[in-house]
Amino acid sequence: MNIDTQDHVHRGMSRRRFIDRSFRNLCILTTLASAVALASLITVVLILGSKYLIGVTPTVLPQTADIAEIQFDADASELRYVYRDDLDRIPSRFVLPSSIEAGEGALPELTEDGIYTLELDTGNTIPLTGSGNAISRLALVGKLNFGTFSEFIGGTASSNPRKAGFYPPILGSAAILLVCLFTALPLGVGTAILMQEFSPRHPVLRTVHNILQVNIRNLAGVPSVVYGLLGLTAFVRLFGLLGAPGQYDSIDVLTLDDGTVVVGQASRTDPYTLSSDLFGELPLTDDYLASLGVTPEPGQPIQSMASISMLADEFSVELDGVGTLTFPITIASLDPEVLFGGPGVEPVEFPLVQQISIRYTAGYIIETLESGRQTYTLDDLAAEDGAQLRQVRSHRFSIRQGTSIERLARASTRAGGYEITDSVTESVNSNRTLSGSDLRIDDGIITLGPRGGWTEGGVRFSSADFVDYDPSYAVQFGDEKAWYHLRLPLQTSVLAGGLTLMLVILPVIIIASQEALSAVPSSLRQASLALGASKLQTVGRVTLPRAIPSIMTGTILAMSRAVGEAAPILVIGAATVVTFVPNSLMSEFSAMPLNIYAWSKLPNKEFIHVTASGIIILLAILLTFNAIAILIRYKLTNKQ
Amino acid sequence: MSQGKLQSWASVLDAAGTKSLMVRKIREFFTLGLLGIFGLISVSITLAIVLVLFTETVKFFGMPDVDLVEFVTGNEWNPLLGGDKQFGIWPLITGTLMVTAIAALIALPLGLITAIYLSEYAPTKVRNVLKPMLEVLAGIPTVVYGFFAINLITPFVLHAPTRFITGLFGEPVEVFSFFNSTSAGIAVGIMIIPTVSSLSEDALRAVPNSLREASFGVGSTLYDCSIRVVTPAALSGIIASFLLAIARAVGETMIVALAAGGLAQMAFGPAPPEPTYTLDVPQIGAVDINPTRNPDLVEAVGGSRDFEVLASIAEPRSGFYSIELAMPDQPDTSIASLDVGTRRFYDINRDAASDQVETVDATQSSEDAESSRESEPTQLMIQIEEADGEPVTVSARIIHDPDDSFVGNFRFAPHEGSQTMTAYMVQIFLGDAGFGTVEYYSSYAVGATLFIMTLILTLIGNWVLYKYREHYE
Repeated sequence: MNIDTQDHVHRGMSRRRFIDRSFRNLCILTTLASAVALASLITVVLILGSKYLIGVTPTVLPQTADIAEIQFDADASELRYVYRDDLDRIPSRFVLPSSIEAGEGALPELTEDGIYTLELDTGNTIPLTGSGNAISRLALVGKLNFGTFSEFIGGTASSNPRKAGFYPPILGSAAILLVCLFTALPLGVGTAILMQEFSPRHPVLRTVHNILQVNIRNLAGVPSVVYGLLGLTAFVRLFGLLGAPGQYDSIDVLTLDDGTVVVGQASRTDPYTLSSDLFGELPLTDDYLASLGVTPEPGQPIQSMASISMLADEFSVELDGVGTLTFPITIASLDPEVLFGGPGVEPVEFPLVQQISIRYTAGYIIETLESGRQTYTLDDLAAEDGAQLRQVRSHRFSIRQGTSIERLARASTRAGGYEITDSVTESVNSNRTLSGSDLRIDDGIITLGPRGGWTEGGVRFSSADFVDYDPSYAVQFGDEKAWYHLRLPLQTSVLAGGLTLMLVILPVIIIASQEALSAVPSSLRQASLALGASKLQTVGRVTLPRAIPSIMTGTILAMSRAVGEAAPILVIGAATVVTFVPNSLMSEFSAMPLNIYAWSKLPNKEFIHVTASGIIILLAILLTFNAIAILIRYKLTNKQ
Repeated sequence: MSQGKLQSWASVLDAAGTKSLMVRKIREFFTLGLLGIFGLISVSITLAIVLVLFTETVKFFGMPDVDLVEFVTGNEWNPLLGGDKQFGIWPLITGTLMVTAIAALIALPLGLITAIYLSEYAPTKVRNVLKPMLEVLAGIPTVVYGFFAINLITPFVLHAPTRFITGLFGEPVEVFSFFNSTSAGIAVGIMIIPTVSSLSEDALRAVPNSLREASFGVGSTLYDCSIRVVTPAALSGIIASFLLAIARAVGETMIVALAAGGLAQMAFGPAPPEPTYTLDVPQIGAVDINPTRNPDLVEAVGGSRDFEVLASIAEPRSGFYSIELAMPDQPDTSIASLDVGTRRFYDINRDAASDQVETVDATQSSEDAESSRESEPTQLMIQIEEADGEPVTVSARIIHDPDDSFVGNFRFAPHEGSQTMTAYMVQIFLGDAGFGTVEYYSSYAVGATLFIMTLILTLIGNWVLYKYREHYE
């Protein structure tokens, strides 16, 4: 080997070493970047949340509209902010910087260049800008107060970020997790035992077994939102076996019975008959339709909305796609209980000409971005002074880019029975907020809409929307007040939510349990079998006890996945924000991730802190789960 | 029930010391039966998913307004607005693919490098710290990632490119919409890094050590060994991890629902044909013009009265439309350029003293504007008022400034909002689409499409994994 080649080899070596080192550095950098990303995400959440949770600062932003007055203590060491909304909650005493003399301060006013200035009667002027000088410095030296933490944990939903609490979703999550655990664990472990310990020998069964094995693996890859669809159909609706709850947008039919006007819902089975399970049927013969100038195509269902109008002595039903059907009758007796019925609503007298839309609903769901989705019963709405109603009053509509106002209105009611008086369908090109929405009850007409934004009150609900929903199609079992009573179909309930989550984590538990079982040495099984135990005895007394720690680890990890799942329970219709705690398996619920989702969508900047606080609690629960799992794993490895 | 009774009965027998084989057999029969039922339930879930999706999707295609061919081929998804509903799945699919592609672009290389580092380079101590950290990252709920996306990533994405462009080329350009595919994609990418890295690492570690030893024996560096020997040997496992991670990204819901927006538009794809425009000046009649090719001038002579210019655009393509007004008599007068896209109504007042044309937003004040707003959505009305009664000649033309999401005749818009299939389902079920409506059933059809996409990815991934396992076992 001459010098040249040696040199060449040497240079080649150094190049390769260089590449090796660079790649190693790249690896370390990448991994570090991932670690930093994770750390920074968690830090940001902690900072954002702690601002709210621990209450060092209520808010750094000089939202001076919230500040009712500014007071100075006699000893001139503290500056006190008094917030309009909550004089009790937020620590509002801050140590004054020494440069500022004590005195009475007027409300800070916004000057033209966007700077708030606090003028004191001592002559000092403190400019308060958003980027933190006086206010943020003042705020940062405030005292720590952990009281807000317990208030957050114990509080319920509120549109005021400083009062919003997390209690109902925590308990909601706990409830559905319990249901999920008690269903998924036996199902998952049972299936795993069957698959792992009783694998068949027959070639055909063997093939089936293998297919099932592949199937379970693939189930783990199905998006959770698809499980939500299954949960919705299977649990919430019970495959429609017992009928469907308020077919909200289906045809509402008017039938005439002894001069009494009754309203029902149509089934679409026969295009020529508008029939109603509840109230009989209205035959629409070919001749009759032809006399109206309507020729529906055979097989083509009559669709869309129907509205009923009364004009003197005739009724007309307007059906989209069909036309107007007019019934010449005499109004002998009009039963408003049926049309506008429900507890708490006074029968409404009809003027001679009135157009009404009739819809059925289980309640009234108002979704505002600030409070998320809340369900109101007719009683809530009828009692105008009710606490919940007042919550609705000050809400704002926020319209996200790309949504249209009409679409938002659609999102606001379950019934769909709204009437948009100002049919604005323009698509919103930028984020904007219509403020000052209002809910009024005025002669049975409930109006929900922003005051200034739309010309005529936005969305209007007639009280017909609030016909109390009679779930007569649902079958009740047991005492309705007991926590364990059952209703079929389950509708959107804790039980349905838990079962849907069970679907999501079942494959995870099966796979974890199978791996746990397969990790048990087969010598133990063989010894047991050799001693004359049956296969089942071997499983029950030898294999399963050995596998239980691993199964527990897998289950805990699966549960920590379940606690963070939002999509499936969102699909089954769980409310995003509720003010109540579930008290039975059949009650409605919300869960922590749903609440976080609802808060994340809020335009109010202060809600970032609330959201972060919720995330901290969710992550703390997850970390606890993970820690327990790791602990079990650790003990397990020590033991073996 | 019978199980418990049987067991207590059996325990009585046990206690009496009369262990009967028959009792045991009966007990085992029932226990096995119970296990069998459990297994059956678990297995039936798949069947139930397929069945539910299939039947509800069939119901969807049986509804009016819905057409299977349109669903498969159409590129307009417009299920909620007004009476004219359109169900073409491609906007949702392209939205999903866009987010997934961005996520994959981030997660696959990063995840793989992390996996190689953890498996080949990292000291045991580092590994013991990083591995659980990655597991924690994998366990963070997706809604939390969504929060990160809109509160950290979106502001960064919104400002960073603007800053860069400002620094480099002067003019600041606001490229990104607030809701955009990019920040959603980045968040999804971060979310699936642990999936890629932990599955890839398993694959890398499964490569027998003899291969590594042989590689070192012939003088490889660690880089040579891990890149040229171990990675190719674990390739099928790595590909499987990629596919499974992509399947997760496709099915991801909460991040995209929060960060990508709700506008179902083609994230990429061929551009729709150039729309036609009409610029109607009632005094001289309507004129069809094609503004991009030949910006025609329409001259109108106004008297002492107002006159109006009506612009209507059939099937507008995204971009900015404006009407430019000029006064040929007085070339120095300022030209009013009005944005058609905002659909606002303007009064143009000419101040005789200064010869300035003043544009007043008349959207709020004008009664006519309010009433005509409801009729044609893409109409612009301009009133020109001549103060001193002199006749004025005003020329007007439409200018179409196609937005930056078009590359030639191809649209590519990672910087704009899109709606994924999962986000659409969230929108439907949060928005309480009435049970039995077209929208309600459409979400099942979308769910079925999603299910098929992820199932194919998962199937291929698991198949690759299975094939791979056979190599070394």
